[in-house]
Amino acid sequence: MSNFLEVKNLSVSFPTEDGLVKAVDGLSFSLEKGKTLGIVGESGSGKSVTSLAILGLHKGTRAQVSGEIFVNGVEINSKDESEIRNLRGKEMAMIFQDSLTAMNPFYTIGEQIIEAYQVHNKVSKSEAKKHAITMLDQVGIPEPHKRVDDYPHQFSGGMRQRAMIAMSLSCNPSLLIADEPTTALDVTVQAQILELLAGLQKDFGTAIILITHDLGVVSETADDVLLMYAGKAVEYGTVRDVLQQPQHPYAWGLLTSIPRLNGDPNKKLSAIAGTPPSLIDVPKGCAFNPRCSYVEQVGQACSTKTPELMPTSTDTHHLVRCHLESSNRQKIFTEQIRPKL
Amino acid sequence: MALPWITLAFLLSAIYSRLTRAGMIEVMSEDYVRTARAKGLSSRKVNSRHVLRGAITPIVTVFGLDLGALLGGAVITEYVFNVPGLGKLSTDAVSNLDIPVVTGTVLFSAFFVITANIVVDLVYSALDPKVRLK
Repeated sequence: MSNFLEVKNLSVSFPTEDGLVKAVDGLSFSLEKGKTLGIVGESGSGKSVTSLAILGLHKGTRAQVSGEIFVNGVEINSKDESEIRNLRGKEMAMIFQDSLTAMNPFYTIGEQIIEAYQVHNKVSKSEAKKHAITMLDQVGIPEPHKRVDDYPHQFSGGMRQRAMIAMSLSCNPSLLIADEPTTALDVTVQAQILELLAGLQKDFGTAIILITHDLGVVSETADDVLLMYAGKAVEYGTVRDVLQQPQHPYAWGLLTSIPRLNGDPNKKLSAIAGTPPSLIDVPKGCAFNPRCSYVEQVGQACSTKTPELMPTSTDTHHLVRCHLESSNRQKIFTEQIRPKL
Repeated sequence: MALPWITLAFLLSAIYSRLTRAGMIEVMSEDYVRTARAKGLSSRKVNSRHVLRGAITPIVTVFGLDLGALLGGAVITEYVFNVPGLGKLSTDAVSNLDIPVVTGTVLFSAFFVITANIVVDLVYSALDPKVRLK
């Protein structure tokens, strides 16, 4: 099956008074229908900026976008706003992070879903409202015929997030981008929402991009994982490869910093030293080199030459951006990292 | 009769267009405007339904104050164009030291200002769903 979404060499930068902020730098990935891609990375690593670029929402802003984005064979980046508009909502939809600010406080939940539905469907308002009630029912909102006339502030956080999902799904999109859909929610609601997304994916064959900080969420739901650091992909592969056989020192840092329930409660939590780099002044060479503990094993190259995203020796679909010798990397992983996982 | 109207309208339209512009620019960076664009709405619809809707509240506030002032007499305009109105009446009364008429016009203007403010408060509850009268 061919890829529904294909992103090739995407770069997004924002000119500011302090200089050019390279939010995304040469990112490539692809996604088939019915599959889920998890994009993981720290705040400011370019996850949200990437998803906005796919929807073409950087148009009309000062952002400079280069590269190619194919959604169902249609290239997004070269199209103008009016052409992309027909794709938004129907071919690709987005669940935004903060449902309180992402929903308009002046309109009822129903009105907002109706609006989304009527953009692509020529139906009467009463029919659209029926559809809105069905959608709310589908995402598990009790008494949807009553709640449809409520305003966003009358909903709880979890319910609002569901309403947001109902709105995004109202035109049955082929690609759904969920930007941290569960970050502000407690674990029970989080589990319900992830289950909901998985169910809808099964029913409609939707391709999902799941943007998250939470590696636990990724391991449960994603097929592929893209790990981002400072606007670049540092590791990309199947969820098994990336989470069980991680090859990049940044991935090691992330995975070993997860606290274990069965571990020693008095043990100090391990963390990656330092802070994420400024995107205006990204470190030369590998952007991770100032925080990496394996720099001395490589030497000069880390701070002078940017490593390429290369297949690991064992598996061609598992890509990693690191100067470490692959045999050495494997050795470090089995000897030092695996025992900690 | 048209000239005093134009004078008043001209003055106020400048204030309102600046106010609307500033308000709309601020609302454009709201997350819900991005959501509206992501739904596939045309930019005209995004602006009229979402951006303008969010920017209208401060405009209503200023309009209420202006409405009170206008009903209470546009003093200078009425004086310049010699329009018989509350403003003209009060300026004449002041120059003639006619205290009872001055008191009356001031009281009358105050009544309009307060009424306009009450109307604005009622309009708020219609505009913003979070403000609901019990």
